[in-house]
Amino acid sequence: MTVAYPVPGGGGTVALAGVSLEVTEGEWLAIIGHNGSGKSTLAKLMNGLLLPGRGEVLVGGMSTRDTSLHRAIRQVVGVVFQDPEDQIVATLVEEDVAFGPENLGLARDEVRSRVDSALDAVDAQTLRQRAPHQLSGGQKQRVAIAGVLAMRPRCIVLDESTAMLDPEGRHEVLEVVRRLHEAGTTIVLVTHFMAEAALADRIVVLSEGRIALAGTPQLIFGDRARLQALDLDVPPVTAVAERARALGVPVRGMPLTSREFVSALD
Amino acid sequence: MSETIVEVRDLWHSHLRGTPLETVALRGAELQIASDDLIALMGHTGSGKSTLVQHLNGLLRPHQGSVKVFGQDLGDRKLDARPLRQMVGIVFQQPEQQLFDPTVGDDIAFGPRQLRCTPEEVRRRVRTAMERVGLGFEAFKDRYTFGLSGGEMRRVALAGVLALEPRLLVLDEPTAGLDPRGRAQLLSSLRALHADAGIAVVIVSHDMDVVAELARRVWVLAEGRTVMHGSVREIFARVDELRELRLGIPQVSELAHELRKAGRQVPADVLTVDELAEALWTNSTSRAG
Repeated sequence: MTVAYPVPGGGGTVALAGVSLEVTEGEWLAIIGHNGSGKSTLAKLMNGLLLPGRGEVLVGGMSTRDTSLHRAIRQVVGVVFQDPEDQIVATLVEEDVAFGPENLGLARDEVRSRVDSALDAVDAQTLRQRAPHQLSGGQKQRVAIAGVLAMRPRCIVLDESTAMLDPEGRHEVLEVVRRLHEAGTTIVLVTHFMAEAALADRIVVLSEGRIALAGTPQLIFGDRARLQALDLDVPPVTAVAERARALGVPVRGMPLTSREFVSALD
Repeated sequence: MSETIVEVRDLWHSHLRGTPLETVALRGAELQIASDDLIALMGHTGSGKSTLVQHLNGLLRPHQGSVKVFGQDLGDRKLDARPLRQMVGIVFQQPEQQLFDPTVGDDIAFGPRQLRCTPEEVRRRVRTAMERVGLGFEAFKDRYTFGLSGGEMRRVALAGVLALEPRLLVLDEPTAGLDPRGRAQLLSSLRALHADAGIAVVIVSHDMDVVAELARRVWVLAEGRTVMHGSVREIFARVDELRELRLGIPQVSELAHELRKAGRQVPADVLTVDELAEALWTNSTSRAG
């Protein structure tokens, strides 16, 4: 899958200016940056919700400029947004998850099997007969992800999908993301939480519409001064490691999580 | 000098009382707030936090138990709670969604104008409120409200509440959805409000890193009851209990907890990156010695 050269310049503000980025099949990419850095614009370009002002976005070889391909493109790339309320349309969970596949005109049995496997994937079988307003934030967001999964996309883009959730809801959603990634789905996670970005294979830092930094979490969080110059910071665990090392405590490598930290000490 | 401004004792409250859908939200909640407090109120979704907060300015009245705010007894049905709404400012979740005026200055001026303040007084209050949230009066008063960033819009909404000159400010999830820069600016505004303007501040939050950074004292609700209260250090040292209540813990406390489990001697109540790094250093030198 390729996403190349999106450069929208419409509406008077340039949200992205000359971004070139490739997302490879099966990878987990995190996109971080401040509000206004162009993160959400980039996410919405990935399945043709926004079209590039200049340049091109290719999804599996299909250009998003060709609106006749949008249906096909959206079956490859699904987007989950910040507020699950904006994405749930039906009055029952299972009907909501079935909405996408039904609109593809699939046979009843096929719709049912897709709904089943999508609900399984987000661990929400027990919620299928519930009304969305009875669900917690984390449950709603998992249902929204199931709705996207029922379209059988190869890539899922999560645009700050954990920002409004409590810690338990965030944990639930990240657990689903981790399982999808293990099963081979390509993940693009747009986030403000550095500890979430640390879970990815690769991080892209956007600033003022451009890619400011890109690389593995170890590389990105290994250069705290550079992140701080962009008004960002490393995850607290990494900050403890850096500070402790400066005091002379032997900490090996670049721990990003508590578990890594414990094994990085002698 | 510190005085008690809120005293909640054995508070019970049901929603949809007297209907088949009646649910009990509070079952004997307790809360005390002093005039110089900087408090976090925590609890899992459905623990009764929002119901409790709505009692503080008289939006809800106690069904059982007592709520006294600035000496006024909210159990007294004859009490007119309107003056309390100026003294207790509540900033709800995503308050930027409640902004309505095209210019920043007019949006913030709405409250003082409703209070029939003189034009000079309105201007003074708007200027003070804007400066307190870090929005320069001249630079922002004529800006288009809906062209601001998310963090700026949230600070405009906060300034709108501050223009009523409350003595107690309650904020529900103040940093949710903000980027790291917006979050840092908002936290420093809240710290300054507490320290310089002498306003008591209560945040209701699920973000434990925010609580650890900002609050001095913590009250924890579960199933409508107050189950823990103490200094922020005491509370976050009780990792297992917090987990049992399905609450998160700050990332530094979590790391300290994991290190202790692995046999490292670090104190349970460290809160900051520097404290934990120094504890590790003390630990490593004592071992080497």
